[in-house]
Amino acid sequence: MKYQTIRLRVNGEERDVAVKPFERLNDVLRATLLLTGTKRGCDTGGCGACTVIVGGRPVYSCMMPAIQAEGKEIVTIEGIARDGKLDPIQEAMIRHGGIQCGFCTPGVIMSAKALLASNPRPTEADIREALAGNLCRCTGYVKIIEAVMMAAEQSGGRKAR
Amino acid sequence: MLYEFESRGLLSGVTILIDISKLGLDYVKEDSSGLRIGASTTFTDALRSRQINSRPAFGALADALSAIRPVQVRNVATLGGAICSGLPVLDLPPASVAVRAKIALAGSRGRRTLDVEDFFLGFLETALKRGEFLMEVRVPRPPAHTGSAFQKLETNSVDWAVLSVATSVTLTNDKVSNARIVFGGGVVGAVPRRATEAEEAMVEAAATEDVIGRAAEEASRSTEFADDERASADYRRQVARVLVRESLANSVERARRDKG
Repeated sequence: MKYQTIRLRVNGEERDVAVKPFERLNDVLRATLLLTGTKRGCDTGGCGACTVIVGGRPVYSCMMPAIQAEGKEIVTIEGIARDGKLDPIQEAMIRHGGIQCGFCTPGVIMSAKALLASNPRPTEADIREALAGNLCRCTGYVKIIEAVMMAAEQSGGRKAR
Repeated sequence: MLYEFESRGLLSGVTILIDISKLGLDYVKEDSSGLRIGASTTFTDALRSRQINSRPAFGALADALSAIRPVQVRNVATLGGAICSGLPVLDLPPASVAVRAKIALAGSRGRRTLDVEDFFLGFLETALKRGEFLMEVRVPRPPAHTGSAFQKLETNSVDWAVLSVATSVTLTNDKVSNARIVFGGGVVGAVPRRATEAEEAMVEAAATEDVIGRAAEEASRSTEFADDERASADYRRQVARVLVRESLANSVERARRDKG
């Protein structure tokens, strides 16, 4: 099959990329656009390390053909800091020890980012549900969930229940 | 899945791939004939649709759609994909049999509509012919006081279910006028299988706990379950009794709320 040029909108920038029809968004982000913050983990939609936000929704970039992301806003971990300042979720993850080896962290943060964008005052159950598709083998999740609750409180200004 | 096919060399003879995701087949509509769900509707969009949520009769669909975790999968998984992948072990196939769904296909030779029960032929085998694709899943308007439900037991969200069950019940004057009990495929033979004897035994009976219990007993007794690395046939039989009972109880409760 031949390469085709598609235009992706990644972190607010238009990027023209040559892709084969079956190429996954994960490979295009990492190998073509060199946005390696998004990880490649299990490759089968089970671990969540490759999570990015497409059209406002968290998706596994290893399960989405790049051509299906055309015309939608793609946000990766590289795109959430503003003017050199980390996103409140990134800050909270660092401050509350939600990071150990760091491999799952970009995916976790993107899932949390999508959650807080649609639900600024999540309950702990909401956070657990939103992060259910992101595996972490180091932290045991407690610190991650605390970090997301803190980030929600800080940006939403209301205490999460 | 596409990538997996490619990496296994299964696409080597393929020169053109057609992406049908931009054909506008992402919709959930309801008209006088019933529910129509476009093939490229994601699980997330289907779950949010008023049409599916407003009728307890479609409860099996809502249960099966929300049983797919996590959210990252629901955001990209489509009804068409779940039906056409030919994996009867998935949750949607038994749920669609329980609600009597029809499969509307289109292709270069025209259009045709099949009962979903005739669509699944075996493991990775469906009635889809070369040059055909799924346009929409249709659910004929169920009579008032119909309720349906879906239940599964799984060891984790990535693996296939140990057992899955979808049921539907229609009540007329608080008696069962129609019932369906469907086991998910893979563990009862390749494709979803109905427990027809247990279904028939419920008809004309009052929807009591006792009747539900006996139907569950009959369904688990009369069905042959697979014995494999996930569970023994014996264990599945016990699980079946519990899941059918719970699913039927949910269906009856929903049927009582269903206004048609």
